[in-house]
Amino acid sequence: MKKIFSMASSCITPLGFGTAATFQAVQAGQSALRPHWFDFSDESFCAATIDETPLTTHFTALGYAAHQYSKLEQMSIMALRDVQAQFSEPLTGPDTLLVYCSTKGNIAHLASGTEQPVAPALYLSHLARTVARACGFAHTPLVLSNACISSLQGVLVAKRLLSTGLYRHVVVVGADEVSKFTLSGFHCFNALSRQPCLPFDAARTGINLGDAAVALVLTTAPATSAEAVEVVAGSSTNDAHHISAPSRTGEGLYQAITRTLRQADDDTVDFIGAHGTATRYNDEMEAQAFHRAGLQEVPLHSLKGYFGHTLGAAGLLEAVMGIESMRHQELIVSKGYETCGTTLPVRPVLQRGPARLRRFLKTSSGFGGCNAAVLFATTA
Amino acid sequence: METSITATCAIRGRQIFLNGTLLFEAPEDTAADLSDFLIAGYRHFGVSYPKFFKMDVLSKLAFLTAELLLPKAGLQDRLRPADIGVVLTNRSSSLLTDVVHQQSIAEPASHFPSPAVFVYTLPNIAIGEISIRHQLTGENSLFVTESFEPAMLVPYVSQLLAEKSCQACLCGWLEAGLTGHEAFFYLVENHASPAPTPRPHRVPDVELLYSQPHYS
Repeated sequence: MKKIFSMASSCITPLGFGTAATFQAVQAGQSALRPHWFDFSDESFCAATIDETPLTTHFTALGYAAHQYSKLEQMSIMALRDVQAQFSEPLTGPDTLLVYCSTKGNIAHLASGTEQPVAPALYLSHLARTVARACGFAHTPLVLSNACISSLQGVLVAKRLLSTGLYRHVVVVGADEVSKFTLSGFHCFNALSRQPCLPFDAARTGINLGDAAVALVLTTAPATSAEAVEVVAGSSTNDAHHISAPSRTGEGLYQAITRTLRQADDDTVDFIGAHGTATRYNDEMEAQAFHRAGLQEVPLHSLKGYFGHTLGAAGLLEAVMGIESMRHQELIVSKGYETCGTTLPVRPVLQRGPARLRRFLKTSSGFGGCNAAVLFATTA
Repeated sequence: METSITATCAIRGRQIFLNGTLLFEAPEDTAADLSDFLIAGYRHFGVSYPKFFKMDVLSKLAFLTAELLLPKAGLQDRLRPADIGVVLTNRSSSLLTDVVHQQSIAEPASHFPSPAVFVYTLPNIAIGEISIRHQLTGENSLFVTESFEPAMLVPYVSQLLAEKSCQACLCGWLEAGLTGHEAFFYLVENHASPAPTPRPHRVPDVELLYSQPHYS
């Protein structure tokens, strides 16, 4: 089997434009969650949004006309242009594929009423083509929409497509934005937290939403730097249990984790990037799955306290932050955690600090009962 | 490894085909509304699964197609649930339900979104419904493409089977949008299967199966 390496990344988040700026803000303990008011409630809800003014300024400086692109398109193009500038080979040839992952894309632009024509940009494949064209990709992009595991599943899809030998490089993008569409939906589920979310904590009351676009270059080209990270193994599963409630036993996630670790020659895990949405049921389900997999003593973090839940972008954003954690040999604090709030205890990271970090397990779960796990490892 | 296509099921217009044979055609008066047509199909085949009525149209379409295909194929007698993957492709994502949710939130004065609607504003929920019904716990993905593209789907599914991420895969096209609907599902298996006429799992074979039978 060909080895697959991750070589360059970019995170466009409220905490920074670029992976380095975003990671630095996280390690400085900054959170992007702020109270926002929406017209469906008198109360405010925390969300992590990117201000349009700095976004547009940055985007325009890349040579684009901002009015021709939606906010999500601007974020996605910025992430892609950043990785294209970093990577040693051009990513615009026939040996490169773009895999674009999003749950709702440009849904904020959906007009009400069935009679009105739907704007082409509302179709995910149209959105992905707009982004791909702006960045000069040769092929029509592949679009994946698998709820909250979308972009982590995108890494798995990329690994498989690279294994076929059809492509030499695959660029995975995960992108979603805060919209009234998704906010009002999670609100009617009673899943939104007014305060900054508290993953795995006893006082957790729900999720916050956030904006993010993230790009990661995966390649079969030989790792040229000691900083390259290998995508060792991965797996996705379905709970086959309920379309919106996670499995009580964590069965699907447990299966995804054990299948991933079985594929790897070495099943050591130095830390876990959990999904940790801060809903009662999700965090409880994850704790069950980590225990069943024998990983209850492994340090873990949820990054939702920094970025909120960025839906289809979350898996890739959190994978990239975990990769940075390995590169810097420094644990990330699981922001918002104080008191154990799951039936079976897990070990959220309480203090930033140096640690020997070589192998990182990233997990995600989503509506539709889907779960994904991917194991990353340093090559040095 | 040799992989083969062992069964197909298609729902087009107001017709339902299994392995290329027309099994059901709804009278025109019940076919104007997609949900009504799918319920007519559900009743015709004597399916009993009350949750069907709660599903949105995309999930109803997926459910009925899988319901006619999977039990007949006898896959679950030969394979463990974890060894059966589901990889579907679609154009409009969950647009029909997105519009319903949007209507419920458009006016602050009449803001009544429903969890039972919102949960269907993701296209992979249809895979979740199939998985629950048939207890499929393997790899699952939903890709969005402009049209049914075997040239994209076949290599990906071949790789899934080659790396043994699954032993069999329910694949195909699942579209319900503003201009129409169509489901075309097929089963791909790693092992030589008991199907009387298995077809090789190659792009031209999938294209041929998709194009036949022609619309009546």
